[in-house]
Amino acid sequence: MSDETGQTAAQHLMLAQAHRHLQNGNAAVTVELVRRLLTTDPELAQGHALLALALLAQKRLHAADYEAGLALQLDPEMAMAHLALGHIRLGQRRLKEAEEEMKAALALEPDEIAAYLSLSSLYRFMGRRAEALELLEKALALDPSSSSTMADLSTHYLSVGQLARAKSHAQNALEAEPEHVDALVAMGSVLLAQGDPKGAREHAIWALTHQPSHSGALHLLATVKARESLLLGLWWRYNSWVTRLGSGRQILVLLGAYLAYRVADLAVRDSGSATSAQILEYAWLAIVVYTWVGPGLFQRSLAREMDSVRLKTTF
Amino acid sequence: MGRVGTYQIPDEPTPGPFARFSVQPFWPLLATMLGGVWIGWPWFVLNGWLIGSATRRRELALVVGGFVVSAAFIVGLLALSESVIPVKALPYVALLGVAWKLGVSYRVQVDQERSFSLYRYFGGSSMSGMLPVAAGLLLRASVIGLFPKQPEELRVFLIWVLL
Repeated sequence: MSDETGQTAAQHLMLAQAHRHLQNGNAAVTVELVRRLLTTDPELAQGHALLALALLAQKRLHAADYEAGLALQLDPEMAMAHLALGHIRLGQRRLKEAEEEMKAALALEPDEIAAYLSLSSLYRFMGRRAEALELLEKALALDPSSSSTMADLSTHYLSVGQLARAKSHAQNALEAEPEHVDALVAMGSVLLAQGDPKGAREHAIWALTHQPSHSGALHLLATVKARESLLLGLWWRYNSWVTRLGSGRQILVLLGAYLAYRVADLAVRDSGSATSAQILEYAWLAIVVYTWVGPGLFQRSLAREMDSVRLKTTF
Repeated sequence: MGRVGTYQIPDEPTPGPFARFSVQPFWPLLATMLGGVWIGWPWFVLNGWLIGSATRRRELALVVGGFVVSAAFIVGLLALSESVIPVKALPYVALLGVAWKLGVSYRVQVDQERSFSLYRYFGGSSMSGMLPVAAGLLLRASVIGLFPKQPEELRVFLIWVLL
């Protein structure tokens, strides 16, 4: 028997289970559960929307885009699908379209906290902090006990340098839900900003015990480690910057750096300074080797950290 | 892979019967850098088909386009080298062609890496590409030796396009 959305009770249950797995950071399990659902019913719009979110969590943007598109074809008024597409567009750095989709989701479900938080994080990314704060305050008014909202408020105040407020919101979030992963990461970030890397590390590890693949917690732990080692820190800062660019621009940056090196090398040789050219070549080799071994060293360092608290090392 | 009869997600690879001979896309990239595009680019195409890469047609188009633009570039460079481009500037201009080949190689590697990661995630096996890379590096000089010595322009054209 189907409800008004056309779902049977079994489908509803399985979707709820898949959604819970996604919220706990198990995107791979969500993908397999939804795959089973879609094998028997390929026209299950909510299945495609949830699959889009799970694929997005796995950074499979192209497939997520396709699935979100399918969901909207089947049900153009599904807020979850618009929200998923908004996040996908953010991942593709198509910010105006991301804003349109998230606003559409909000218009369809004005009481959906996730829509407020998504649009707020988009505005924070775009530097529109006042609008981001306004949305967070609306979300908090809708649900004063939402740890996710309080964690986001902490992140917002941290980004504008108001550490006391950031800490207060993180503490409130943790009092409501002591194991809320985003709140743990928010508190850890505040502690790091206050010059307490030990506290920051503890909160990052605590978050990772609940969700080993939580990107915010991994980022926080990596930032703490980067401050301990100048060499790894340099690589981490470079990697964080380059990752934000997207793959196309990353390639352009690499090619630009290579061309700059080759032009400099040719020019120095043309000027007759073979020694300087050799120094330049060794410096380039050192940079290449450094960027080559940096990721491996960093991951090993993180894996040792996580081994010490008996966590999964695959991430 | 055990995915027959289940819902297929668009970016998932559809490996063929010889997928076990595939390699991580890093190896064809390294072969391109050390041996030349004559080994690296066809290897990319082959690897894509072996793992059933979701973007194998785009990878093929990139490689074909890569060869076509490389050929056009060297033809243009040879035609303009004495009249428009000063001899001293030639090495600098030639760098653009090198950058083009590297750019195509990186792009194909990034695209293929996504499908390869999924292929491995679903239990696919692959082999090391060290031997073909070493072979490419060692055979590079022999490949140049195969090209006719005259006319000089043809030799330069072939060396440029294939290495």
